[in-house]
Amino acid sequence: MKNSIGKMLKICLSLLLCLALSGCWNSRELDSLAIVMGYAIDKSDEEGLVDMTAQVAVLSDGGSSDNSSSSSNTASSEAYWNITRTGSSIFTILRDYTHESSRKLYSPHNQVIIFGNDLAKNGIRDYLDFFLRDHETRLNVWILVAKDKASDILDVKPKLEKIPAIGLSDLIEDQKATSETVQIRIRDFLERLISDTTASIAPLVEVIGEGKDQIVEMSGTAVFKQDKLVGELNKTETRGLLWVLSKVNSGIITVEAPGGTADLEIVSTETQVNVEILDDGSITAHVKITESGNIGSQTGSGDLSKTDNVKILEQNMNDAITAEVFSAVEKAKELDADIFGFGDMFYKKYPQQWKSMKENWDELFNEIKVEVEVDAKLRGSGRIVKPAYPAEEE
Amino acid sequence: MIIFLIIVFAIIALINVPPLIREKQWRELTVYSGFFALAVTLSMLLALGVDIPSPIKGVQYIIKDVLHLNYK
Amino acid sequence: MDIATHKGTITNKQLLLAVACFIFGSTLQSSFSIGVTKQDTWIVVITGFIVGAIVALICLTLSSKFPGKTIIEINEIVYGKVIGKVVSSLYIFVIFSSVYLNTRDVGNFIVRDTMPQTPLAAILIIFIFVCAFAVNKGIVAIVRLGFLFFLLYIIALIISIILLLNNMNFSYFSPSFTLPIMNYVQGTHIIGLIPFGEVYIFMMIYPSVDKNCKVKKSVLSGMLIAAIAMLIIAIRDWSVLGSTATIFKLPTYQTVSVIEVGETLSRAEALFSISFVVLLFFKISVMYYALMIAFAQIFNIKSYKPLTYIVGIISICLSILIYDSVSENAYFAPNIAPTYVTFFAVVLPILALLIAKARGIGRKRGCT
Repeated sequence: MKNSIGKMLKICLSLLLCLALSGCWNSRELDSLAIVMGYAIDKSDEEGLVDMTAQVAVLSDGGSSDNSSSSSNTASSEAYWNITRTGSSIFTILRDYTHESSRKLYSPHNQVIIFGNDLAKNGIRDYLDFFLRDHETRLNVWILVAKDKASDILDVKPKLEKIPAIGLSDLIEDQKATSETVQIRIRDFLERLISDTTASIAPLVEVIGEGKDQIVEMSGTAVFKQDKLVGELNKTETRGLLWVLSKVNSGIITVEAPGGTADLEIVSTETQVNVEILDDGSITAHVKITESGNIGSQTGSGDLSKTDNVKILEQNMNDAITAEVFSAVEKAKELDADIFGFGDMFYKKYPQQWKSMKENWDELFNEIKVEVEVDAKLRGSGRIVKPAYPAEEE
Repeated sequence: MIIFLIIVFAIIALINVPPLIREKQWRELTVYSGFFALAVTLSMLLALGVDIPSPIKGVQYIIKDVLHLNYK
Repeated sequence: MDIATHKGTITNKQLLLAVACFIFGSTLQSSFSIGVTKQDTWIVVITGFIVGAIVALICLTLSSKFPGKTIIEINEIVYGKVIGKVVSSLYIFVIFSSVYLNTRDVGNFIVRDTMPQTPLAAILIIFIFVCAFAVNKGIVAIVRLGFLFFLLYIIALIISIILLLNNMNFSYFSPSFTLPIMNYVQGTHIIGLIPFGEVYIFMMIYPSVDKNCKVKKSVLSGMLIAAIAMLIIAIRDWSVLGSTATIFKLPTYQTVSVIEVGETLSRAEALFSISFVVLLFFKISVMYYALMIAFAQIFNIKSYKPLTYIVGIISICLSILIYDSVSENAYFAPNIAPTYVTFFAVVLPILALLIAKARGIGRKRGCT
């Protein structure tokens, strides 16, 4: 008798303890959350304040109804809701949202953080601090800089997705196909911020078009000095940067070919960078790029399967890649920003000398001699070997 | 909070003390009472919000200010 | 209280796993020395292990001179009754500090990093309650869990490494050996004493092990396994995070949050959180047990069992009141704690050994 009561008590006790497992003190029901998909932060018209726009996913019927209600362009048919508020810092604005939103903002599903151009010129480190410190925000979030106002980017309804922020995040991931844009997460940005000399970078987005035909387009790279925006790289220069960083995934380069031009597709690349301090005190960075690719398409009648022609193509590819890298180096020197991370490489290889180099790194960077060595290989030519021309009489 | 503490302490005492008295383990009972008193005082003071000096800060004081054996 | 009459003994294999799990709990808090030693943390892990092994050997030698006796009993034999009790009280003070400091760490983690609105006291009450329950069941029950937790930890570690291979960047480790010497000394001191040196607490447990002679081998093997794990974690964390690791409160937690396989497998911090809480539970339970045995022996009572929950309540109170803020907590571990532990893990045991030699007491050869 006593034994079974004891057992019952123990079972009850264990079940009671299980209640503690659910962490119910801190529980939040799903329908009390406003799930944020993207943040856009702009400089406000008022002095010293920022506008922050949070894109909240609307999960009820807004998500399921399609373009059938496109005629009634009310907010209820949208799958998202952009709330904009103004304040002095990110955290105060976030709490301020509760004045307008019926649910508290929930950040873990956030995909992107976009900074407005004006704000970026003033420095974004203070605004990043909240995203680094808070436990809900994730470090895998994409960072972008808008060509103009960040909140405009979140207003553009994507053609293929329901929520602009998701469309934007997918857009960023697609950039691997051309490798003309950098992909930066908070983590990567943080790494460059902490470094003494490396300049931070972030992809640029802009809104193209008017009214209903607006689209969002990735358009190059924003270059920061510490945390202030100082300049831009266009698409070619960005790819030059990516070559050095060994981050080129794929892409097309059009080169001269016997008989016309050829579009060469980059399939895989690898870059090795070696920095050196020469005896006369000057510094060099030796960039060695190996690349292999395919012929994507060609114009003209040249028979590009002949080995001589292949050699010409490979040489042209080498030159094209070298040109891209040099364009990036020139722009970086112009902007006085070490986007390649050469400074850190010197620190790793020459820790003693770095102490004295660190002070005047800006000047040293301006004088660094970058040597590029490219080894491009053409591996394949697609399905056809010769272009579609009538066969020549031998 | 205080009521919660009183109930908890009462339950603990009820479970632990009778067996000790039954077995006539006086030494154990004294030690037990000592600890019990300490626990009750500490938790009551904490629940009332009284500032109690922390023993770790005491250790820190000894090692840092008296012996200067700290690193920073 | 003669510990041999207390039910159950543990085997040497269990001791090995227990020592390993005891140290595993601390490996997940690599923030101890990462701010000091940065990219050379892995070097300091190796030197710290060597120092820790020496510390453990000192305590093991002391224990083997008085087989079947815990450090409390040894103190009375070596110093005489009165001074012995004084020294033993100091030991109780330091073991108690370890208990509530580690409890505070668990509490901090759960409350601040995962469930911010929950009051600290609630978490601590539940946690200590379970620990006290385990302690009352005896050392055998606690140590049996060691195997399970050991497996959990190793599997979590291996999975995390496999999933992070892509994110590892070994160029973060250069330049090596360029920090000021004091950093290495401090780093070695921290790692040597806090994860490894706390094994001195096992001096309370050795009498419960059957075959007292093989204890040295088990303990050192356990420490070696833990050292390898710690080295792997140090390398993994720095290669994934680089110098950004120094600004985080819990770098190991951040490393795991980087894991993102495809679109689905992310938020792996849950795995880390579970391992952390579970392993610290093990560590605290072992220390709690050692504390209760110490109380029982110093007051000369038959069994510690009635006292366990009361001491638990005192621990909870102390955990809450020791620090007002996280920054005070963060200052203590790298700067004060190593010296604090050194006194009890190194200085006092050496003193005891010298006095024992001088007085000619204790077993000469150590073991049969």
